[in-house]
Amino acid sequence: MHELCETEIDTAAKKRKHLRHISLSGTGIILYALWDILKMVTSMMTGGVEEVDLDLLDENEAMIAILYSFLFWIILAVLTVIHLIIGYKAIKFGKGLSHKSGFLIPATILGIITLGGMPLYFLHHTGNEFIDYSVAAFIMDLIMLVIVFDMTVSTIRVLKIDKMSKEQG
Amino acid sequence: MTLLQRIKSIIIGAIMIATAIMINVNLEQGYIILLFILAAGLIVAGIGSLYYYLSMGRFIVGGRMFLYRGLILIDIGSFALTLSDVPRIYVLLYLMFIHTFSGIVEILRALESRQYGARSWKLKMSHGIVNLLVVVACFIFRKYPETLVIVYSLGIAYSGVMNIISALRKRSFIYIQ
Amino acid sequence: MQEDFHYYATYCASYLAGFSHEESLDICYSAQFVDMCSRTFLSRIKAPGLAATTQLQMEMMDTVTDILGIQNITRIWASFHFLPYDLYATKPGTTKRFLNKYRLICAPNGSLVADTVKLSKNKTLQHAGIAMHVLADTWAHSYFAGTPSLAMNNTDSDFYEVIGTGDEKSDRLIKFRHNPSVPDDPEKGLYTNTIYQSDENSIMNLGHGRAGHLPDYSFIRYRYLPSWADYREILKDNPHDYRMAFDQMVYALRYLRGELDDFVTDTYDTEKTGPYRERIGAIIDKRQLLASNDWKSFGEELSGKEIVDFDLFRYQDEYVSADKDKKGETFLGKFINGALEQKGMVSKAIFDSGNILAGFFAPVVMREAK
Repeated sequence: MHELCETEIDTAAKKRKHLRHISLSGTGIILYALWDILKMVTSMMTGGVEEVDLDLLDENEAMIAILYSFLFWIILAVLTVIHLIIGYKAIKFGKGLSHKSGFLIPATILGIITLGGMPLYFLHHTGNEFIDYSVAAFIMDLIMLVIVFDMTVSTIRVLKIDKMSKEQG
Repeated sequence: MTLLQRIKSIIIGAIMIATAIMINVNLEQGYIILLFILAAGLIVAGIGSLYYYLSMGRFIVGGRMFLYRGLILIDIGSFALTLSDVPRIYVLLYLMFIHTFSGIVEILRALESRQYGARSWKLKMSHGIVNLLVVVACFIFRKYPETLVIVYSLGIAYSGVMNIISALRKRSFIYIQ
Repeated sequence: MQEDFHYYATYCASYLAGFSHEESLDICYSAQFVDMCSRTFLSRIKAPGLAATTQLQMEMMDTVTDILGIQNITRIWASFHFLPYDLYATKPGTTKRFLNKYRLICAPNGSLVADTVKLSKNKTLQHAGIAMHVLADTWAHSYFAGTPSLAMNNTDSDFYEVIGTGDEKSDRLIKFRHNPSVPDDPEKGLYTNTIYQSDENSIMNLGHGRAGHLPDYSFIRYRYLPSWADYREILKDNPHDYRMAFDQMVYALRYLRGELDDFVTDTYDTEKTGPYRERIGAIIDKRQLLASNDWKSFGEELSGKEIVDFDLFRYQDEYVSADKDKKGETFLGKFINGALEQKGMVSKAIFDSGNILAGFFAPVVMREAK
């Protein structure tokens, strides 16, 4: 077996560290997806989500309301699945079972969407209304952003290390 | 246990019993107190995890987990606080989830202790089982929130009594060559 | 290390260093006794519990690991089984809390090893035995710390046995399970270790529990990621380390016998062990969980006499029946004295380095066994 010199040991250690972080981030993203579902369900059960009384609407408006509701759940399901896939792929990459870093693209997009949605937590509230729930959800989204950012940075570093190793032969 | 450790255990046990009594004095608000205790516990655990990350975790393999864990625990604790103005049943469902998790962990730890020959496994096991029994009782009495509070507070009182018994126990060892 | 090395190999080293058969038996008995002298045992014979050189698993499972508990644990394990390598080690950018534990990491040839050996000079054979146990363990238990610490003693699933040498080297993933009642299986690469505990001060994070008994098997080479090593892999070469430990023991014992003027770290006796290199190598390299029979055969060949098996209660009656003022002259009395001195020396050294993990105050002068 080739014996590694000090620089190679350092590089190997750095790569190992970043791969671990990617794996951990992947787990974090999966947990976040599950948390999102739990949050949504809890909100609905506790009246946090506005319900529309269909009896007050005419036929067309009712159809639109149902369609919106249907779309909402579809989009939620799709986003959750995307989260799970990103997390899974990141874990695989982190454990060295895959070398495909394509998961970064949807991760970045989701991160941007999350960032864009964060101010909305506070836009509903005006005056002296206490925004405790919003703060909790805001913090969780912030954690998610940190995880995605960490994952992105770590993946880029791993790719750089791999590139350098290839160039050095 | 050293004398100081015994004193600490007794004090914690006494506080738990006092909390259980306090909860039962005003059942109406009992669940609010429970929620605050739980939320406080989670937030404190989260802060502890963050402190560990800052003082130790960031220098070790896999240490970043403690950062995420700390942030998530603080957030879940904060989320628990937001449940104070919703129907009790959902609050208690949340509490039941936490107790199920903690009961299972306690039982697993008891089994591990038993494998290593520690006599304290029985105490741990009973603690875990009581946790799960509390959950079962909560489910059975789910339509009677005040009964739920009594059941739950009995669970806290039991933990407190176990703490005190553990502190007052004489330690005797069976030597195995 | 286990009984095979602490008892039988120490006998062999003592005999090679020039001690007689009887003296070698006393030394190796004391070396092995370090692994058996618990507070429970001492309380049975009404000896001072402070002289405990180990803790039984049952004692530890019931221990509360607050700061006082940790200090008690550290005083024992750092003094006898995980002698710190460098109490003044630095690691830039870390906190004092981290450094306190980092400085307790064990490795061979630290200054405390020399202190341990020199502490036993012109003392009893029991002192020498204790010193040999401590010295040998610095080789086997390298890279772990004698204090409960996730940060120092944790490892993860990246554990590989290095099989073969040279160009024929290959790695095999080591599979860990958490069942102490099932023996390890070197042929299948199945070993028992302690379960992961995320609590920094959990007793499960003491010493090399996370690596199972691997450090105690002389035949195995493995690479793994210690928690503290910045994601760098460590290659633990037990066959090499055990050979070094043996050679260093012979050197140390020659010094203790008075044949040499000084004990210097990183020095090994190859003169006395040279003729037996192959024989020793064969014992160390053999893939077996316990090499007692092989070491015993070797020792009996060296001395031509029978090495009695270790018996924990051999000297118990002598100690129990002795008058109070004569207890110090018994075998166990001398051992107790040696243990107290070793514990005091190491605990004080840890305290003097500004580390509170061995105590808040300067250790009280140890009571001598009477």
